[in-house]
Amino acid sequence: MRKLALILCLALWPGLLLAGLPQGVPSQPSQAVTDLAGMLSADASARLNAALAQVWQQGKFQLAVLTLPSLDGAGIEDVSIQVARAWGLGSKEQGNGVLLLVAPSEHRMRIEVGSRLEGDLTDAACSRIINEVMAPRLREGDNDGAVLAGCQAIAGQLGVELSGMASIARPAPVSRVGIALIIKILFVLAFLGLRIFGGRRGSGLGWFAAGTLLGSSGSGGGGYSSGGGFSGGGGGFSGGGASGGW
Amino acid sequence: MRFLKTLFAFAAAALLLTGCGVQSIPQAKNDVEAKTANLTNEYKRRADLVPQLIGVVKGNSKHESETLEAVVTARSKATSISIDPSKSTPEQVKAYQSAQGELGQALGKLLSITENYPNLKANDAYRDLQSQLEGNENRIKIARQDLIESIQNFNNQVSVFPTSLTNSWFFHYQKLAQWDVTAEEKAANEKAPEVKF
Repeated sequence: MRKLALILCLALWPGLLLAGLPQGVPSQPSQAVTDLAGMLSADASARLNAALAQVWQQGKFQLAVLTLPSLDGAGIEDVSIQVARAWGLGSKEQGNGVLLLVAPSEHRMRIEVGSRLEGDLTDAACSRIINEVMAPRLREGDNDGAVLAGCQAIAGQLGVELSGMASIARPAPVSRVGIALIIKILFVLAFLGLRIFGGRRGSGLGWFAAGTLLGSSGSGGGGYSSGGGFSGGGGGFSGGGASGGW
Repeated sequence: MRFLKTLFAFAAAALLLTGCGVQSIPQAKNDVEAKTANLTNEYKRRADLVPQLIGVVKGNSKHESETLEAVVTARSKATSISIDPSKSTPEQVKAYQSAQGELGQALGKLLSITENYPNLKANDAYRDLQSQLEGNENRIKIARQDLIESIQNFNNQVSVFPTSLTNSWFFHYQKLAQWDVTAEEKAANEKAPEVKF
């Protein structure tokens, strides 16, 4: 009997080793922005969620933003590779995931780049985005501006312009509200149009598409997890990117 | 009827065998080979970046010929040793790792000394090279972790029941030499980082 137990233990051992996921990795999000440190405004998160979900729906790349209240003494490189792999960012075939990790209490940040994007989003480019785009804004306490501009610069390197970001170059609150209103109206119009089309076809497709478009407006469409499949395997991370501080 | 029985026996055998390492042992071996190739690739990339870095540093700093020479020597030593993952002995792995470790340390020293040259730090080419080398160092670290895990998996398959039985019947593979941190790296890891104000 004891022998049998021993054999069972031995047989299960490799399985147990594999099951041990890295400790403390936040659970896979359903949206692009996971602001655990609470450093971003609701407006900025919503706009990023909408814009990044759209990019991912178009099959370009999957950029996730994570802010952590503390790194618990770990190196930011170790944390970011663990998170990027655990979340499986990007699609498996295209290896097109990017993680922007910011740790405000340690004043550290890192851009982790999926292996197939390393040609366009080189280490040097990431380093420039961190040191020239994000760090100056973070030093001034402009967290929203830093993360929005950082995401925009990352997208720019990959040949994509993020929608709904026009106002960040001029951070005048009035124009920001105006543009947000226009975007909301456009979304509502698109939503209504799609609903009509969807109704004609008699399928849930219209609702699905509308939910995708309105993902950030709380309509429950789950903009980031649908379509490409957030948990699509990913795993194409080999440590590319750059880290920096402010 | 007899045909059906044979078919069933084959299906049962196939089902049993798939869990016993007939597939997973060669897969684990392939994985080790792929991960080794990954790592040696990153080492090669580092060796390719070194001449560029030396070129930039030479033009902008006057009194660092000793440090530069150490990097050049370490690089030529590191590129002269290659490794075959399927036939590597522990000694070969150790020699390869210590050569690469020396290059890493010589490079680290060079990068830390160049902090003293403001004109170098302001140089765009230098900054790009620096971020590439830092990224490369990080990739090497991760590629090595992946390889260590992959070797561990292969060694488990080869030496732990029940796949060890399959190995002794069909494949006769030996456990592979595990990669470990070298003595110099251990010393460097245990040394607390210097704090300067």
